[in-house]
Amino acid sequence: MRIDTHPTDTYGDFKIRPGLFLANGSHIVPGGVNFSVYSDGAKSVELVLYHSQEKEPFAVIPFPENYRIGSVFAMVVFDLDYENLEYGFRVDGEYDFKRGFAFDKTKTLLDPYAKVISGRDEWGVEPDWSNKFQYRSKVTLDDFDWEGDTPLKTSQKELIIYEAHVRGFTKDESSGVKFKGTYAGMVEKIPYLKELGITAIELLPIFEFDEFEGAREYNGQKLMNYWGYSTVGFFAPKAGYAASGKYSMQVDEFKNLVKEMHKAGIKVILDVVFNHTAEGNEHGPYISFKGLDNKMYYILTADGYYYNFSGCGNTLNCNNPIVRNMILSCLRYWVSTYHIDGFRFDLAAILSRDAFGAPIPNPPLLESLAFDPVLKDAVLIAEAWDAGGLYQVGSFPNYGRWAEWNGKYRDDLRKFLKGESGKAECMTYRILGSEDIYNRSWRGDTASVNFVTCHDGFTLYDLFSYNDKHNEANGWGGSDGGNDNDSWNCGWEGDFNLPDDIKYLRHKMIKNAVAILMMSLGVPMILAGDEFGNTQFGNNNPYCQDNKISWLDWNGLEKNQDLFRFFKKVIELRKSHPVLMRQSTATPYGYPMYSTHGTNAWQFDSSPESRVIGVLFAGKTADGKDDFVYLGINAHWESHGVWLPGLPQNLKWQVEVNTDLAENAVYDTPVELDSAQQFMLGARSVIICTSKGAN
Amino acid sequence: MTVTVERDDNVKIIALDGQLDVATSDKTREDVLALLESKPTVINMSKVTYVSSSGLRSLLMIAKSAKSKGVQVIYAGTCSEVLDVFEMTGFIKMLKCVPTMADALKELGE
Repeated sequence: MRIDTHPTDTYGDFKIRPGLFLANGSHIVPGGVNFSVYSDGAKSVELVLYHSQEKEPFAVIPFPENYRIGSVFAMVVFDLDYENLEYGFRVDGEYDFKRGFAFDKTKTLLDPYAKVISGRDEWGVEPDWSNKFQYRSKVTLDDFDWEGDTPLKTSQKELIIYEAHVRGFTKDESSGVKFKGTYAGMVEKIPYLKELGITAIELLPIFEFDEFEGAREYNGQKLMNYWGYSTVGFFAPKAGYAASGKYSMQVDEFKNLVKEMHKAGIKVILDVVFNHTAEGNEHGPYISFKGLDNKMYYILTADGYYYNFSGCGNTLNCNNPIVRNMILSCLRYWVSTYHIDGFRFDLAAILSRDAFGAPIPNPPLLESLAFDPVLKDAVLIAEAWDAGGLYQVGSFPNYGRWAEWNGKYRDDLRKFLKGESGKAECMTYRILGSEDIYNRSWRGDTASVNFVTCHDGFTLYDLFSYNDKHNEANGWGGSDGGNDNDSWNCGWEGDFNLPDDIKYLRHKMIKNAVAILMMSLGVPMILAGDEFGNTQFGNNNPYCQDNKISWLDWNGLEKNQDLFRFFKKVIELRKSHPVLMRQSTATPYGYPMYSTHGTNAWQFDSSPESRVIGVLFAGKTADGKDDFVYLGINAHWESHGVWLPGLPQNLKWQVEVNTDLAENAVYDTPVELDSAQQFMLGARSVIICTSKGAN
Repeated sequence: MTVTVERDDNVKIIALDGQLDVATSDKTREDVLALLESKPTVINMSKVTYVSSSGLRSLLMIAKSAKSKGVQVIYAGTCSEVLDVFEMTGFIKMLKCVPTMADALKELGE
């Protein structure tokens, strides 16, 4: 029996004792619950306890003076029914806006380390706005029966990332799952993801956010904060994404999702938003950080205003020692407690700014994350720019460890595919790992996350169906969303009365894009639904559309079977040829491992009007056999004959896919080529050939 | 929460009645574990109206303890709301659940 399981003091009817000063947030301890919180400028702190969903607290317990060490307040309260408990803090201190002090003891604040947050338990259920305490910290059990699971140990070279929104993935009726729009619903789709062949799922933000933030009505449609790039609490999974959120079981439900993904060999990567919080600027609400330590958590101007490098009202002061420790603790928590395999950092350039907003060459936060032992195997991906104009693609402080969303890959591939001149040479750099941007000897083989589409922008189907964005439904008169889409509608804007030949061309263009993507060195990422031609009806910024614009329409899977079959095939090709993942070392017969070609083998044409690229990959299969892969691309609107590079005598080329063949772009049996044969690459088409023969 | 033995011959049937939450789950787990013998056991869940996080853990611990002792435990008659919670959280894969008491007895060869 430990002596610290006994109360030392009473406050009213409550038995209490000094708590755990090295902990953060709440923890269940023998006989009670420990609450720990720090605040640098606080004169005093009160713990405010509520029964679940009640407006008024049943207790307000001040932290006694001897329950404070430094700026940490810690207290154990005994005999609490922790499942029926919500809590917050009230902090008294100075208010002086110009000097950055924003203490207000009338506000009840969310615990910044809350592991469960209630208040938005069921997605879209209108909250009681008269309730002054909207986002409420809860206590949770951290245990879980992982059945031996850990974060997956597979190499980052094997990543094939699938970017998905938890709700949008299965919310539509057509998903056919029982628990639509939830973590549990996603579990039901795991066999589908396995069939597709992806090896990682990247979830749009799942840290608790408020879907009602900025909610409005436009044209009779309720517009919400659907994407969720606005964090309320960094340690809590979004309750509204859990079918069991109304029972506060989101922790178990989300852990089960991770466990089941891992059983299927799929890593789980979280899109995390540390660049700002949901507290907005001086007009925004007090949720947590503002009332606990405004000056510490936010980058402020000399007269107390919030810098807005995020475009969302405030900027988290990421390189402050306290804040960076919180971020590090948070990521360690998700890896160790939820077995998360990696993170994609939204507007990550902000993470390299100092307390005055200036970029620093060796940002302590990024360095800590790169070298942290718990995060050692976690994938770290930066969106290497921010809304303050800092663009760090290729120059993000990386410590040889960080990967980046390669925005240049997306832009160059789009331009090349639609036929822009002067893009062929640049495209070969993109296919071969963008070494012009990412120095391989320093950045390794997985620095470049290659993609054509992501949540931010057109879907792949829309990329080839719309010349212009169609964002009217977002209610900003079409002014929101990017204009630099490099999209091409294939000659017909949208889907109304779509002629068959245009539809055919669009499918071809989609296949061209994903074929190149899967043959490119680096880490490929696809957007959920692209594999069956999902459309957002030309909306390239549906962040607020919680409806059919954003939700995947699974009918596409039946309608566009050729696309799904093609995606599956090129993913399978990537996985079965180690040379495409830089997992092959030996190069047989003196072939360079990677070489570029034109209409003639070994003669790459880099002239401005060149639109034909051949790429030869030469390596070994996993079982040591000689292995050649040829990617032939014709981005021209006319067909071209190409000579494939010759193979050693005992091998022959065989065509695995040819996007020129309408719906039958995948051969059931690969077609063998004669060694002296010129291959006619159809207009705007791609072939992938592999070597075959006795070895 | 009340724990009662409804039948005790070659098969034991233990009935739970009430809510399984933080206030009752530890005691319920202890009570059920104390009743377990080597014979196959069915937990009659039909009068359990709510299972919280700690309740789930108690049911899992009962199943695991039983398994380690080689005792077969089947949860029968769980209401659909509670069964949904088992399903959402994945606990259903770790608990042997059947729709009715008759199914449980059939499972045990009766």
